[in-house]
Amino acid sequence: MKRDNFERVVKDFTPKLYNYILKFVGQREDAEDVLQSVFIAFYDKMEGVDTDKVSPYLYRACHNNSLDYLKKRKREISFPNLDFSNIADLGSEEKEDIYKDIIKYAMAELPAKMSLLIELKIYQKKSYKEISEETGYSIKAIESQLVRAKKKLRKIIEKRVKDDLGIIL
Amino acid sequence: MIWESFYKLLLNLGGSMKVERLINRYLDGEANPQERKEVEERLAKDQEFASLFNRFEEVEKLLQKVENNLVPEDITRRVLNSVKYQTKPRPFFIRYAPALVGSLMSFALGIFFTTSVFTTQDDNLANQNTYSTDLYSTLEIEDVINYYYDN
Repeated sequence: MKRDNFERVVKDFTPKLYNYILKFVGQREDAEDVLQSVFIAFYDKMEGVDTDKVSPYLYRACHNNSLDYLKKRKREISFPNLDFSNIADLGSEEKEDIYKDIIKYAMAELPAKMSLLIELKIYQKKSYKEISEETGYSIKAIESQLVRAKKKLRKIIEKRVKDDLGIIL
Repeated sequence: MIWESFYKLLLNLGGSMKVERLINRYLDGEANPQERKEVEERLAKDQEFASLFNRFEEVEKLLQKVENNLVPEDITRRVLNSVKYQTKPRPFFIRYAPALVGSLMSFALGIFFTTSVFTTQDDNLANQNTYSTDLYSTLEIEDVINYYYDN
């Protein structure tokens, strides 16, 4: 991809990538730092990236850079240490924070490809066809990766809640 | 016997993968009307299917508990500015420094090899001349001595 397209790519992808990174790092300022580092690195390498591979390239970079960013700052992504049987009594903001922490923990444990597909399907509400056009993956591959991702997410969370995912809902 | 049970296992695996895909398509809103009907019918009468459906639905519900955040209005401009600032074109001599160093090194190597080849050739020639001069001078002395004795 030519460097002339850089500004267009930044404009197209910034809102989506910002929200994606935020799921890993949690803080707005951190998300902006990671996003900037991703685009700075992309600017140097963009001439070697195919136009139709830009989206998976950027999402993968965001996934890896977010985890590196947290590691460098020695910030561990930990599962909320709570008695989930009382979660219904909590206020909506408190609940939202707990859910964010759970999703952050689980998404960080997923491989980059799976967390990308969860992001595009669940959070950006794209159809399989749209995801296929954006990433270049076949619809069959998207389907089977999403099934595996959801099973894996469940397993990751169940390990922390004594095999009872229902308790946190 | 072993092959039979292996084949049955494969069939079961294939079957459960198919069912999982069907449930996932349904929850993702990707199932066609026929598939939707199948899922709803099986949910009503198949306990095992309902339990598997429930496992996927819980994950889906959990994921949907988190909404996307509102993106700060000026973030695109801020990102663009920071990238422009940090990827400013480097000064001419830094940009072309590696090429310049490479060319200078090739030039220096070229000069070195050229001079060393010519020097060796000159030395050989010089040595040959020395031998011939020595031979000549030896002969000359012998000739002089012989001439002296002959006469």
